[in-house]
Amino acid sequence: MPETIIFAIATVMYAIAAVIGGLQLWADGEKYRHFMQPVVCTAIVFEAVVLVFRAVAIKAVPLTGLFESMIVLTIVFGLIYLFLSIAIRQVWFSSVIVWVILAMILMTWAVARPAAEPAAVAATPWAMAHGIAMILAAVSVTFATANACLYLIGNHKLKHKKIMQVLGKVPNMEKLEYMNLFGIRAGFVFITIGLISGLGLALLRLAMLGISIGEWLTDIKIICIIAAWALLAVILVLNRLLLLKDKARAVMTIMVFVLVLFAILGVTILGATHHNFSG
Amino acid sequence: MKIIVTGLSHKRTPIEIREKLAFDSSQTVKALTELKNRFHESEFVLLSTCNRIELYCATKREGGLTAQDLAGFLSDFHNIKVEDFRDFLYMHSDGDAVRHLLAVASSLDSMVIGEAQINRQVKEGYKLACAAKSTGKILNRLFHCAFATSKEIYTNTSISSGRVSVAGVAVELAMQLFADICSAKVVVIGAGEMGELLLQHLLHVGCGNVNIVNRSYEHGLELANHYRVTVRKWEALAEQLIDADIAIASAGGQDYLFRKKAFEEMMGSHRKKPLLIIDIAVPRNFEPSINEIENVYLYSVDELSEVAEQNRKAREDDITAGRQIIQKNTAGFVEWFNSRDLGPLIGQMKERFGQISQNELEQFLSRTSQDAPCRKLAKLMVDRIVNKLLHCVIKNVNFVAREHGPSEAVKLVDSIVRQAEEISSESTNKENTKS
Repeated sequence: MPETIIFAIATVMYAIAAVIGGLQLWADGEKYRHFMQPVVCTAIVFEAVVLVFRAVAIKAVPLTGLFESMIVLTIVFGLIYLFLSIAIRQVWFSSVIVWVILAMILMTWAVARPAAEPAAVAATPWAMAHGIAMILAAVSVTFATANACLYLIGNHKLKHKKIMQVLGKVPNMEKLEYMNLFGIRAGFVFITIGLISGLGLALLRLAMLGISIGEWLTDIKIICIIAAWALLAVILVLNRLLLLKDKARAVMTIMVFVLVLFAILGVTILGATHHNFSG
Repeated sequence: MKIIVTGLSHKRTPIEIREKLAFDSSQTVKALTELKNRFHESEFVLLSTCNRIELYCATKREGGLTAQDLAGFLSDFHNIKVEDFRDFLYMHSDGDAVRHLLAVASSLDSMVIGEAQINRQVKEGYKLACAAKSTGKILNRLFHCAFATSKEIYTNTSISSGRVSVAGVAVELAMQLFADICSAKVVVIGAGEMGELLLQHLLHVGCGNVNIVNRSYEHGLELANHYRVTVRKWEALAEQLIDADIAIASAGGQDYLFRKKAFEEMMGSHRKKPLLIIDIAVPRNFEPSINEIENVYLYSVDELSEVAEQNRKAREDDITAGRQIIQKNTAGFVEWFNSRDLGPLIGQMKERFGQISQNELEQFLSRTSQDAPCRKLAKLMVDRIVNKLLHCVIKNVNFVAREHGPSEAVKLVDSIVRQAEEISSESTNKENTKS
């Protein structure tokens, strides 16, 4: 029960941050910005407390379920916001990022489960490497997507001569491109590590998983991740060959994000996966 | 004490006069040290920028320095006759002087409202005055009030944001598109006045790779030499545009220089980086549909003017808000400044009341034969009565200060002190006559 209350407080904090994000856009100014950082900071602390509670309950690193993974994801995202807000002061950036975090935390409610004991396989180095790589990959892809969205918004406004809605509100367009590309590269590297470690886990510890290799490799979650990885590879190759325009790259990044999101949340909510590390 | 300021600014004074009266850092320190040595009871700060020379002074209200004395000092220091610049001088005192400094430090009195440079210059002037030890309690507080006001205005209004000229908006737009504007390749098509103005702005923000392409090569060369940039022949225009980042179009002509189809072919499908085209020519040099090409951002003079106009309107609202902040902070400072005079006056009042009671007590005791302990008791009783009555008066003075401002309270205490002086001297005279 206290865990639910604490998580509810964290959610309310993010909701307040999202309202502040809306206000600073609506009020056309930055004066609300300094309220947002303490609110996000408090929400992160409450989320961390939930993780500590879970760790105490299962006496292990609390990464056995999707719920915990999502909490870690929102914490990492919140920390990215806190660090980047030092350099990126435009209101669009902070508003979009807190809305994304709020969406993620609301989705986390959908996958909330009581703390589960970790499966024996979760203690293996393969599983740990896989879990950490996939969390970092999800963070990278979300970061790339946030920048892609900002790029598309800025580009649309500039093309339609709405200069006032861009100047001082959206980060520099070239910087957005760089950050988008950085997120894509990092996402590709982490998903590659995640896939290799996942494959290693499937090949070496199949007995511990309790499923066949065929089931493991045809799991919708894994298929979605492989598709996202392939799309990232296509983006990077086309970009290298100068065949991809910035706008197309931004749209493709959003497609990768949708795939990753479906892989993390969609299939779990639909119950269409055997991908589970809880006992 | 009173605060006075005398000076001249870009508003009324020609540059020829301003440059004669300007002070560099070492001259500022020298002038302030000289002033402090001559008038050691007064406080001074000298502000000298390319747009203004101002001398702030806090001095005794009676028999202290005047604005004319300060003007005379400027004249002596620079060896220029006062008559040569008297007509351009402005002089303010007390509340007006405070309001003036607050407006100067917040850039509301500047040529470009919202510029951040003036605040740094005022801070620099104050630092030099501190180094010359020419400031004191009053000017220290006044300048800190000016810095706080400036910060408040910059924080609570958007006075410094948004460019108010077409050239300024164009530069801001370029900075929105390119992360490193210094390395962006700029092509200036035509050597018209507006193009030159934009060129100045781009050079100001650090653009290093600027190429002028003009129909008349000689005219282009002249402009290029003036700004130390590169000039290209008119025939090389297409070649220059292919790898350009920013194009400023201000060439004359009756028809478009570039139409969409031809421009698209010229740029090729492999061009990845964005191209910002600022078309300030009338008639326009670029067909408007060129904006539809991906990564090409085409803006005409009208579109930029619209933004500049919106910024100008927003800034006007901010100026009103800024003036309100200045008004509020001036009132706060003046209240503190006036209340400074109240303390010594209350001291004088206590002294006079004490004197009256002492006179009366001595008169009473001289008529009666009291022993020493009894005299002591009588003195104690009188002192207590006077203190209680004084407490009552001070309470009322504070009430007046709160309700009607410190200046009214100062007037009231001043009049009480004068009346007490009269009573005291009357009783002394009576005593002398009797004896």
